[in-house]
Amino acid sequence: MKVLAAVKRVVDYNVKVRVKSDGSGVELNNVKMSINPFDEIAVEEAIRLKEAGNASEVVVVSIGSSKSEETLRSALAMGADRGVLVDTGDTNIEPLAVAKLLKKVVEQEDPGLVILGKQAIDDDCNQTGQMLAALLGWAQGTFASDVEVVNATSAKVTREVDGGLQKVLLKLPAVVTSDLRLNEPRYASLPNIMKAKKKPVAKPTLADLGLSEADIAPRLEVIETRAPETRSAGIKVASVTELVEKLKHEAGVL
Amino acid sequence: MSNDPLLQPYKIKNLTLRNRIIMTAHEPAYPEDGMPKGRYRAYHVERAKGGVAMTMTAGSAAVSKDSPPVFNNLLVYKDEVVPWMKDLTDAVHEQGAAIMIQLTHLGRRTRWDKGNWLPVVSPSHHREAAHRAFPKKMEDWDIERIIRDYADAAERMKASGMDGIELQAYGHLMDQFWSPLTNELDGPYGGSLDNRLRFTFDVLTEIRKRVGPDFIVGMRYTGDEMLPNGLNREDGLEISRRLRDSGMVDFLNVVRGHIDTDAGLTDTIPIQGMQNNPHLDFAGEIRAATDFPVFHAAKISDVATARHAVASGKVDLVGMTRAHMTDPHIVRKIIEKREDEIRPCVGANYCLDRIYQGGSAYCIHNAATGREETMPHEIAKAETRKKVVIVGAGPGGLEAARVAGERGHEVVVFEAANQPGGQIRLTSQSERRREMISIIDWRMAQCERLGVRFQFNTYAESEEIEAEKPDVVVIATGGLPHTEVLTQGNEHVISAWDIISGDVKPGKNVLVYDDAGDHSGLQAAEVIAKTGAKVEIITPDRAFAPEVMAMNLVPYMRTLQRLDTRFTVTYRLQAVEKTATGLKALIGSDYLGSGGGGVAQEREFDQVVVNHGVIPMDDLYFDLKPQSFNLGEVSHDQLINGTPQSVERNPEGKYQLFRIGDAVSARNTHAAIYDALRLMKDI
Amino acid sequence: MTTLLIADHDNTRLSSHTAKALTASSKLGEVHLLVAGHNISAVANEAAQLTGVSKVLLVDHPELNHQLAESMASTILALAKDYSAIVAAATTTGKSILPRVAAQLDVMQLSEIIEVVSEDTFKRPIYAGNAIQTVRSRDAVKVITVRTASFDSAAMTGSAPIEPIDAVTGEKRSAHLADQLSTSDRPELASAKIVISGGRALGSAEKFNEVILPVADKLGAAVGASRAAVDSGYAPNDWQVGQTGKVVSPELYIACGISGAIQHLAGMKDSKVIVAINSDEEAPIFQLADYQLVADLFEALPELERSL
Repeated sequence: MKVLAAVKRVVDYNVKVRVKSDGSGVELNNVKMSINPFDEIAVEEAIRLKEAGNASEVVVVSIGSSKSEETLRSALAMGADRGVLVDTGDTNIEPLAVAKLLKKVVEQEDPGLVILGKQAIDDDCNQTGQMLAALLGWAQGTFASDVEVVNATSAKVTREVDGGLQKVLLKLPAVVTSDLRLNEPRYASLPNIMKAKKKPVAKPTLADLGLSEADIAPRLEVIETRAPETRSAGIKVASVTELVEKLKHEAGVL
Repeated sequence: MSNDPLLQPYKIKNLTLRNRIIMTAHEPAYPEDGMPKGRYRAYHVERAKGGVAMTMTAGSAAVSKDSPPVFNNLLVYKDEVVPWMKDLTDAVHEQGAAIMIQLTHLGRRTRWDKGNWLPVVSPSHHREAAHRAFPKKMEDWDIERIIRDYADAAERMKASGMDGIELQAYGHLMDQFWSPLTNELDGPYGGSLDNRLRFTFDVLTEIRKRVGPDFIVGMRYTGDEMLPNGLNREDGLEISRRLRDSGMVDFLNVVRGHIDTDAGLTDTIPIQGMQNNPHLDFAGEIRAATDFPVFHAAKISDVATARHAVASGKVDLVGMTRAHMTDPHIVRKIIEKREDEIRPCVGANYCLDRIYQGGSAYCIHNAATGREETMPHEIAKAETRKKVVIVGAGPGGLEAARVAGERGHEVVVFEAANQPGGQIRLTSQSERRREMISIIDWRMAQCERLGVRFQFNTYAESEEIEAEKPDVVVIATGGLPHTEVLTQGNEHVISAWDIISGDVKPGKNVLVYDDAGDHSGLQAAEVIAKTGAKVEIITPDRAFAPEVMAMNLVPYMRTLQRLDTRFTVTYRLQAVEKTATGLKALIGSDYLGSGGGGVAQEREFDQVVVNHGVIPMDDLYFDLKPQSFNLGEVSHDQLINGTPQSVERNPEGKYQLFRIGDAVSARNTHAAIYDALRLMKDI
Repeated sequence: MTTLLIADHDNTRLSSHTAKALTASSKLGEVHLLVAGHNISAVANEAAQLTGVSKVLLVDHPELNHQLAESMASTILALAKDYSAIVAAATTTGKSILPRVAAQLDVMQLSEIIEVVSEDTFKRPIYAGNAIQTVRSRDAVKVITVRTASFDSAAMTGSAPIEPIDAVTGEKRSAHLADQLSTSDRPELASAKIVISGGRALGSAEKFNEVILPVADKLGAAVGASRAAVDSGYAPNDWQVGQTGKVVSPELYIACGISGAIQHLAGMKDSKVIVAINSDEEAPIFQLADYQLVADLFEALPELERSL
């Protein structure tokens, strides 16, 4: 069984994002970009499935600007076998469009399982995996904290749901989205980073995938992006007694 | 006036210290001819400038000729030390810091084949494991002579204008008298605690006669040897009270433990991966029991802990000694509210270990320490702004980026990985070496402040580099493991990195062939042994892991010996063959010679790990070389003299090209950082 | 212009999220509430009382027992043609179901809105709340998940009619195997009214439990932790609050011995009232805290517990 993992290039999670003063978006110039952390977990899980003998090949896909090749190389350095880059240029590409593109890649690659992060930490949409599953008519296991491939036609997925865990059985092929606790991604060693340079990355065009610009045009218009309201300056309390007093009578939360 | 507990003044007798942070005695082995000359002075002055309240010079300045330094200490038994000491004292005072000195007689903790080849003396014949000399058991005239020597030395120090002295009593002659383990004398200086302390009080009495009541005299001593039948905590508290009650001592500088073995020394002065401030509470107990001025140092490497030590009343003055090796300007940064810019001590202990092995102390990641006469701690701005492209964000590349940034240049760093760090990130995979990553984190924070641009996940090629239109290109690409060291079967071995990074799972019966002798070999052995596998480390050297050095070896040995690792020295792995069941290692020896007769053993393993340093990743360097002015050449004279590089071999060249660190040849972190600093400071 | 709101429930009770998502939905016009599950008449009756719901649609089917996304989406899609908006609370259930619905309607979902600006324009947080985006949807049907902490609860004064309808569950591709719900008496972290979190300064798992848990018990609070505390093994993984852990926005958030790494702040900065207790006066968390107490945790927390 082939496993496909999808990865997105996003602002590194350690970067403090700054909103542009004109409301046109966030500052992305000279900002460190990395593989979306949830996608990194997805890649790790795919590689572990291969190491455990449950997968024959790990293919990583990224959709975005040409720089997304960097992100694919990160995944290849972790141990994925080859990459697919769908270069959609510098325009914003929404989850629905990504799901449509991924669907086409899936149709060409025919994987038994697609794993991707539950959400990207830039737009925080949390949609792509579910949308892809819907478009393919496949089962989905979102927010996975454990994936167990039972056989060629089914997998058990433990999901992190509000209030606990839920275990579901999915018919394969299926889409799984990874949550934080699915695994801890490995350290990509320097020799493997250098080896990843030589791994193949296919670059199909939109036409190769049978889609047009119109198919992936944005549906949402971003009117403005603003920094959240800053909190008003707090006050120092001198003692626990004063704190409790304030919480009870000033803030009214106790 | 700040209300920071660390910044409160402290008065001891007539001396007012400007804050609570001191450097306790340590000998970085910078004396020249046993005298504190230019290098020594520059080292202490830099720290005085940085705001430290007091520096205690000279770990173990020798008071007697039969206390010859094992490395390079000050010889305070010589009268000629006085003018040198005075110059040093004046220079430190000029910066507003106080200065004292630690005096000692090493007793058995030295060797007879040093200095004047005098017998080593001690109150017993017991040998100290670390220095191996069998001592002469002291007689009356030795004791009288050495008491006089102490007093003479104290007098010289007072004549130099110093603010005070302390006497050393942990592992040296003074506490060799104290401890029942090392005192087998009869009569007035042996037997009861009173008798065992008599030598100390005789010394103090004689010193007071010479220096008077106002000169500051303290004691740095072990309050608990932590050895069976040695001085215990109760003895330590009693000795502390007696020192206080003698009226001859002004402060207690508390140490805990014993230093006669590498392991004991390392518990007393812990290194990275070991507990932080392990003896602070004990120092606090002595402070509470005596209500007397207490100083203490032992892995208090961060300001928050130091602040806690003082604020909680455990100590009056807190020693941040190795921390000052790394950053001489700690106090200034606290005052300026730039604590987060303090270059952090990572506990690598390169400083201490290197004194023994390399002759003088260097900080693993501050190459200016100990080189104050030639290397700046604060980088001056360049006159002309240049475009500097650096390839590789390991320790060398990042130091180059930081220094170039401080020079005011426009700096771009390309890095193939998603993270900075290079081999530091690899070594930090071991829990014990995790603190190493601060070498990288600190530089990244500095680079951010300086506006250095980073491009991660980028395999830089000449195109990317030339697109930046650089004036200077620095190749800091490091290397990859070199494992092809066998006459045959190289394809069957893996590298130590493969194990440390987790790329290859450990076998069950593993040979670690380590002739690099650095951390990687032992780290790999440790990872493997912890899985329960059988591990044997083989090296052709006479000692294994020589580059790890004495104190750094201690934590490895504690793990590896518990896991029954075998250490085999003086054998060379020659070839590996695949067999039906695993791997056959053909092991020879340099002594037996090479060729057919050389093979000494054939042994079965299921995995063979080779640690043989790195092969430089230099493709890019050689691609760029023809386009450079200097064709990559570095003028060693200019490098050493601290003048800008001006080699021109190719007038058509577009930029200057240099490579540093392991991209040149397999060395270590300090070498890469020193390469970067001394090259970039003049660009 | 009618909105279909998907009720959040556990087959027994309506969750508090539904009444809040209703407040958001009502801004778009008339609201029908879909209660889908199994043996859910009690839930439907409760739902009928929500002020602002004009009709409750009741779909009761064994296959909807666990509200798995595949069958829920099929059920919703069968109703979708009559609605201009389909809304759910951004719970793990809502977040799993609605993107499936959106994709099959060929519309872009609006995730986790925090404000309804107009019937086609909404505000939503991005970058873990470090920026707020105002977006307009050009799609004919708006598919929306609602961050419920940003909306007040609708009242319970209504009496909407309940209309049972048939389930359309579609091809069965997934099955529920087991639930392992937290048995703790403490409220769930993501929806708790009060959260008390501990950081690395607690020093050990024992200390963490010794000083944090009693206060949590007194307050009926959920317990959180910083990544540093989780990484050090002082607290279990699923207590982690932060960008890579849980994002919470309770009425009261008490940060104890947490320095305030960006990563952590991203996970709690939308809390209504933030209290920081830390012995380090310089800790960045104080810049965000409404009430700042510089104190030793091991003294302050037991005292807090006694004074509650």
